Amino acid sequence: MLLEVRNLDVGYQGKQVVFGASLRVDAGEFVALIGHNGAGKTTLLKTICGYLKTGSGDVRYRGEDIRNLSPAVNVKKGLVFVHQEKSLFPNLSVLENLQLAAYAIGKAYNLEQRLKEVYRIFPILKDREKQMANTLSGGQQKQLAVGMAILVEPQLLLLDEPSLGLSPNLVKDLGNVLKEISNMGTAILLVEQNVKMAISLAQRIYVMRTGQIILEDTHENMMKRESLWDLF
Amino acid sequence: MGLFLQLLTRGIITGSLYALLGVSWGIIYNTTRTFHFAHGFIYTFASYSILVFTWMSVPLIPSLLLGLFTATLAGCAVEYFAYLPMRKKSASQLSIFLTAMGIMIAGQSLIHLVFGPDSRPLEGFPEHVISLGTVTFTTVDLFTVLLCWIVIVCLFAFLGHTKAGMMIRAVSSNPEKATFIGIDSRRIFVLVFGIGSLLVGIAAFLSTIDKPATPNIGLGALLISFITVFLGGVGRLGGAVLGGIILGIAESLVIMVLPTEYKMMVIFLILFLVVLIKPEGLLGKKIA
Repeated sequence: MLLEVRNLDVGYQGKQVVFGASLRVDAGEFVALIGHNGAGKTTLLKTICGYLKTGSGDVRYRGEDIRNLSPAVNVKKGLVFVHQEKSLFPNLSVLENLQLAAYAIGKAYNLEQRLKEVYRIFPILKDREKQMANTLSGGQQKQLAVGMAILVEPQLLLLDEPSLGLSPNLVKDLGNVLKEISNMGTAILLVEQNVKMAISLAQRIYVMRTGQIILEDTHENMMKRESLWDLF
Repeated sequence: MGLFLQLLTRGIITGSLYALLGVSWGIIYNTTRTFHFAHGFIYTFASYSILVFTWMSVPLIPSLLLGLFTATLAGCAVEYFAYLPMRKKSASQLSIFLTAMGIMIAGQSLIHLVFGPDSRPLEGFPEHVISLGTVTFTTVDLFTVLLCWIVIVCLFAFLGHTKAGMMIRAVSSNPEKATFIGIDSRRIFVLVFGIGSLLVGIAAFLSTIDKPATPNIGLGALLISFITVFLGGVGRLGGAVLGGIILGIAESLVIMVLPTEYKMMVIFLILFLVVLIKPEGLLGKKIA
């Protein structure tokens, strides 16, 4: 098992947001966490990556207790979080953003090869590599954020609502890219409000409501459901 | 015309020093958003450190290098032992500002206590007058301008073309994201405090070869440092350079119409007018 979260409680500013959440992600698996706005999904991801402190419960990555580790340390262990916003350095060029992702974890030695791989998946980034990140369109910024994450060859990618703000066509393209990343062997824990997209991509799905995980089911069973409204 | 050219030359010399002061404080503020009031103390500390080494019969250049080294360490120590523990405990910006102010006042008082209130000249730098037509300046002035611009160009090259520089720019623009990709912001903060302190140490040296050091020289340097940053635009180090040049030239030219004692008033008036018309500073960008 790559990631195991057990009975996790999280709160901030004196208010509990996540109540006894448990989930797991196996190596190479594509897992989605869906739920309405404010259900605690992003909070859960931020806690797993080490940005927020846990109240009680257990977070284990490759068997190691990572509750007290910072995101900076977890990235070096292969656990990479892509934020729904603030995921770029606006005053750096596209290439500098990508280079920085490698420099930050000391993987500059195979940078050229990794850049080629990122540009193969996101060709537009190659065309725009000299452009400042804040001049990219919303969709291109998402591509760059995901590109920075996959450049460092993560074992587990935590994606926080990557489809937010994208047009339907771009969401479809993004879905294809995520599928390709998953096929390359990277485990993904995807948090999404776009339920249709998340269910179509993931092998297993967790549903979160008001801070609790209320359902875990497979892709096949979720696809068979006539309605999903009762879950939200 | 002769007077104007002379004053303009003086303004460029002063402005170069102000630009260096501006980038020294600006790199710290832009990256950490800490109102580093104790920067003035580091300036005084650097001056006196260089002086102390020369009093110990160490030649000027090694004294300068040792003085800059101790000033850099002092700047890093302020961040590591004072501001960092406060940030860890989520202290407010006001608390950190008051702590910085406390370090500044206590540091200056300590220097006053140890070395007394007398002016302390830094001797040993050759000073000759150079005349170019109606304009005259000294070798110290020429050295000041050259060194300031060499240091500023090196700083921009460092920020633009090195891994560490890229990380500083990243933390400066998005500290949260920097953490998510694996950059240890705390190390970067200590690094920029070190760089800022090294730069202000160079400015202190240049100032002390021109005018003797006193325990309270840091306050004026601090005021100039942050005024240039806010004038030029927070977040834009180039703005601090522009702000420094504008202030230096304005301060120099104003004596054509006003007595010298009004120069600080003019500097604050310029800042007030610019902030009134363009609150984000001359090169600053509006935050949506």
